[in-house]
Amino acid sequence: MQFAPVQITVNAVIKRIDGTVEKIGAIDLSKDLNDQSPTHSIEGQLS
Amino acid sequence: MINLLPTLSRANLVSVLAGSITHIDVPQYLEIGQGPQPALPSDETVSDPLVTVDGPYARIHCTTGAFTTATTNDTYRATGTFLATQQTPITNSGLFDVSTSPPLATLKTPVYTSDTQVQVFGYNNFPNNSWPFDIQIGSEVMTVVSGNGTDTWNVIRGANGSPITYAGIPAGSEVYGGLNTSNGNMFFKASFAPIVLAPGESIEFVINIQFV
Repeated sequence: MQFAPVQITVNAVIKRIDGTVEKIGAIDLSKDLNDQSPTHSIEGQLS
Repeated sequence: MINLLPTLSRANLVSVLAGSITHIDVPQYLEIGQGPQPALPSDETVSDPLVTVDGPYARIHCTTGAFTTATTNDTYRATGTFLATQQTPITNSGLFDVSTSPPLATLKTPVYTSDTQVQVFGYNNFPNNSWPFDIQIGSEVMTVVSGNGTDTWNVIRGANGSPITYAGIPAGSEVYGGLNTSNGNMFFKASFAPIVLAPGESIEFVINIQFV
């Protein structure tokens, strides 16, 4: 049975003043819409 | 990072499917926040929205549309970019269905656990005689059911399943408008480790909500 009907992905790109680019993500979160818990998340690290 | 669809978004989506409402307005306005609170499903606005000397920072109008990730048009995507004009630490963001920012007030007196009245500076920034509406202080959402017309609201604590602030809320705390204010509906929220942007630096958010 599939319990992850919605997947939320956030990608963020930071453009620094010195011209460098930092990326956050892809940060994936699969969770049941009925799940009230915010704990089904993973940490997104700057890469 | 915490990404979530708040409880009101889930309910609104279900209401469309159930036919009790015909549509939801397009969530296309991005607001950036600086507050410490992690995103919770009960949240109705971002934590400590960015402000300028002239007032709230205008919400960012995102590019939106349907995209194909695995199956045709299975993904709603919103893309928006924030450009910092001064050194700006950011910690969270939200996607809203209106361009206007939430009204703001500050607590005139502390709010303790059992209190059901809230005294504020900025009373008239909020709907007056148009109850109920919600406010959010930190992570707690309260429903304002009536007011005295000048500075005091009668509230229902812990609204929308939010955590009641048992430690007490100090005077001077910021109070933001939630449901039924100019805040509109927050469809999506993310909170993340602080990112500091220098003047001239930008951050682009690409938010994908995919049915899988």
